Amino acid sequence: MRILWINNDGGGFADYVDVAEGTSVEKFFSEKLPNRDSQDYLIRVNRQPVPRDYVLQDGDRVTMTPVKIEGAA
Amino acid sequence: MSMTDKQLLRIAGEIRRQLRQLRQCRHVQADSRLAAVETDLASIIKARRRLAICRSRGWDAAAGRVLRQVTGTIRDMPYRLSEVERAVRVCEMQPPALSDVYKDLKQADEEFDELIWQADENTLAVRTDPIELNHVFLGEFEIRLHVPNLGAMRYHNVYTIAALDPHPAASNEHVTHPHVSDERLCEGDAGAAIQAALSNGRVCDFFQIVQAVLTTYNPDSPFVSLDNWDGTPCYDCGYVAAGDDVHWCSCCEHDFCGECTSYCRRCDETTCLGCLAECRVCGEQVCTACMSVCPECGERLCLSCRDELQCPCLEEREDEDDTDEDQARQAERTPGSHAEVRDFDVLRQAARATATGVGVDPA
Repeated sequence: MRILWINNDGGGFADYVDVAEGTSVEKFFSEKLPNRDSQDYLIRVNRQPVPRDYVLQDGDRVTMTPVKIEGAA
Repeated sequence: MSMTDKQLLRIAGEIRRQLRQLRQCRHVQADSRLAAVETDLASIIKARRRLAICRSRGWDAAAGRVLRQVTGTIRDMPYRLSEVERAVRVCEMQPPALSDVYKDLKQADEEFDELIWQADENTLAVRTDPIELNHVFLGEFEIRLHVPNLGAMRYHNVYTIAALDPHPAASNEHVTHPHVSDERLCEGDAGAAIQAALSNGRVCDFFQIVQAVLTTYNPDSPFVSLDNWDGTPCYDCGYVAAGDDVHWCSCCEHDFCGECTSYCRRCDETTCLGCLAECRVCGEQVCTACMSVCPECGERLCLSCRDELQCPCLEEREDEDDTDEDQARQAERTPGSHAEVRDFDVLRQAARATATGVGVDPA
C-alpha cells in the first residue's frame, strides 16, 4: 500500500512511499528515521495525533515534524 | 474563538490563489534560466564555427584564442544547468487542492490555541505559549504569515515573528529571541523545511516548524547569546554586565562595565574612563567635575592643584614675587619708601586673587 509521507526534518520533502500491510506508526518512524527518538517529533496521521501502535492504512498522510530545530543568526 | 468554516475556506482560497501565482513566477524564473543556458550555447556554437575556420586556414594561434574565449562559458555550464534543473523541478510542484489547504488551516486551528486572521493586513497568525530558554524568559510570540507575499517568491517577507510581551536582549532591543532580530527569524536548519511547507500550502506544518525553532536554542549561532541576555550593556564597549559589575558614571550619567570604569582620585566618585582626564600637574586621573584650568595660563589641572597654586605658571610668578619682595626690602631700607612697599603688597595680593579667584580686600 502507499501512503503520503511528509518529513519536515531537513529538506522537508513530501512523497508517496510504499509500506507493508500492518505497519504501525512506530515501526514506520524507526524505518524512516533510524537513530531518532519519536519523542522528539510531532507525528500526525491524516492531521490527527495517533497512538504509536496505530496501523497505517492505504492513502494515509503521515507528517513528522521535529519539535526542536536549531535556528541561527 | 475559532474561525468559522466559511472564513477558513475564504482564507484557503486566498492562499491557493497566491500559490498559483507563485507557480507562474517559477515559470518565469525557469524561462530566464533557460535563456541563460541558451546564450551560453550560442556562444559555444559561434566559437566552434570560428575554430573550424581557423583549422581550415591553419591559424593555430587564432584557434588557441578562440578556445580561451570560450573556456569561461564552458566552466559555468554545469552551474547553469543545475540552476535550470532546479528551476524546472520546482515548476513540477502542483498548487495544493483547496480542500487540502482548508484541512491544514483547520488543523492549525486545532493544534494552536487560536488561529488569527487579520483581514486588514491579510495576515494569518498563531501564538506560541510563553517561551523560556535556558532559564531566560522570552514571553509569547506571534507567528504572522503574510498571505499576499506567498506568491512572490520572497520567502523572507512571507512571515514575521512578533514578540507579544517583549523581553529583548539588553544589548539590542531589536533582538527579542536568540534567533529573531527585527521580527525576522533566522531559520538555520529549518530553512528548507519552511520553504517546502510554504510552497506546498502546508500552513500548519509551517507554523509547527517555526514554533520548533522558537522553542530551541542554538548556542553556536544566536543573534545575542542567552548568557549575555540580561544585564546592562556597557555604554562604552557594549559588553553586557550584570550585578556588581555595572557601574554608573555620575559625570556622563551612563552605565559601564568594570573594564571601562575607574574612579576620580580627588572625589573618589566612580567615573568612566572617558570622563577621566589626567591633571597636567600632579598626573592623577580626575573626573570632569574635579578638573579645572589655570586662569593664568589655561593649563588643565585638578581643583586641588589649582587651589594649592601648583600650576607651574604660578610658581614662576611666585619666583618673580620673591624677587620683587627682595627689591622691596631693599627699598625699605631707603627712607620714604614705605608707601611704595604698601602699594606693591596690594598689587601682589591682587595678582594672587586673580590666580585663585578670591576677592581682594581693598583696605
